[in-house]
Amino acid sequence: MTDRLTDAKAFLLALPHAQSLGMQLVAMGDGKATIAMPYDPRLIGDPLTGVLHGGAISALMDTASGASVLCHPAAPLTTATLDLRIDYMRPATPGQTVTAHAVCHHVTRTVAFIRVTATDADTARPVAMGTGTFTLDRPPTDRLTAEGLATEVVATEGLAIEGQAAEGLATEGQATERLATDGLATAALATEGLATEGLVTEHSPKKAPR
Amino acid sequence: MSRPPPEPVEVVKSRREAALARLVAGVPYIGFLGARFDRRGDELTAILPFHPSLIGNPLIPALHGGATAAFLEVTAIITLAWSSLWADMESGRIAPNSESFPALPKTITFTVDYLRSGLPRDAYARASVTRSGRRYASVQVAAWQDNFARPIAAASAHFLMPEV
Repeated sequence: MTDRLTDAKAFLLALPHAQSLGMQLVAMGDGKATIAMPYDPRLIGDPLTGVLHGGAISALMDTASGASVLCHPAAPLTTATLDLRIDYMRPATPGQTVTAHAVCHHVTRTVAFIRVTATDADTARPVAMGTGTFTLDRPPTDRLTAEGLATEVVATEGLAIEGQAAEGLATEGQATERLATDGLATAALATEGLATEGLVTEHSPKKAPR
Repeated sequence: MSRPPPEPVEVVKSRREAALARLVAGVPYIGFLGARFDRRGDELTAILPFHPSLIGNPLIPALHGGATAAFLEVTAIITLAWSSLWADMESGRIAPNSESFPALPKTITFTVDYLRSGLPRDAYARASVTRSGRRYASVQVAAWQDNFARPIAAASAHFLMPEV
């Protein structure tokens, strides 16, 4: 876990776009990440006011969110943004560092859910807040201990990801494959009393979207 | 009964190009990203030439999700500002290189869906203004790389319009 965390930190610092935006890792661990982005005139959106462009703040919040997923106790190997919604409450005060604090508050087998807040020096009044979902690529050993996790797939069912799988997004396709290979899924579903015929058929290997 | 002769094409083109250049140059962050805009009449396509500093994960390598989001947001803002500027610019109420361009719309919410991982190559984006009111505007925007029919990301955004 500690090694993974070190890896995750090193990985984060190596992201070229994070470097080019001048991001600095403040804290990271246990599904929480804080990243700072000092004020930079190159990132101005409105020269009349000197306010930073929303895009730079989005990039900061996206990076912090990804970092919070990577340092979650589930120790995912990689992650990628599925969707991110950001509400901009007020312009960041020109000249001040913007700091994003992200929390990965829930994970399933394949999806991580995050909340993220961006503040400037006035930490009581956030600049922007966001929620998002990220893909989660678990280490291979975790995939075999699926008994307890299989039920979570049922919860994920309603998510949009399923539809995207048909279009070639790897995430859910992999999940289906994992369910099929470990053979535990059906059993787990049955014991939980959730295995209506429809659910099981939908996850059967024959129908795996490939 | 005679109509005024149509404006010479060079006059029309140079006015529109000057106005667009003025609009884009007004946002330093667009220069930071390296994005530019292609114009056909009033239609705009944003282009994000690939640059290594846009990479997120160097292992894959893929475009940084934040760079993609920023590109979509820039495209949405410029397209919205351009469409609200168009009538005033065409009628001559605002000079194309005027210092008194209206302020840019402000982002209220921005929701981006990542559909495919962005490859290390040029990206393109087009936005459409679904509603433009006096106070608020809604914009849809999508980005693609090799295939227009296979977008890498799409976003929907709401903006606060500048007070006139």
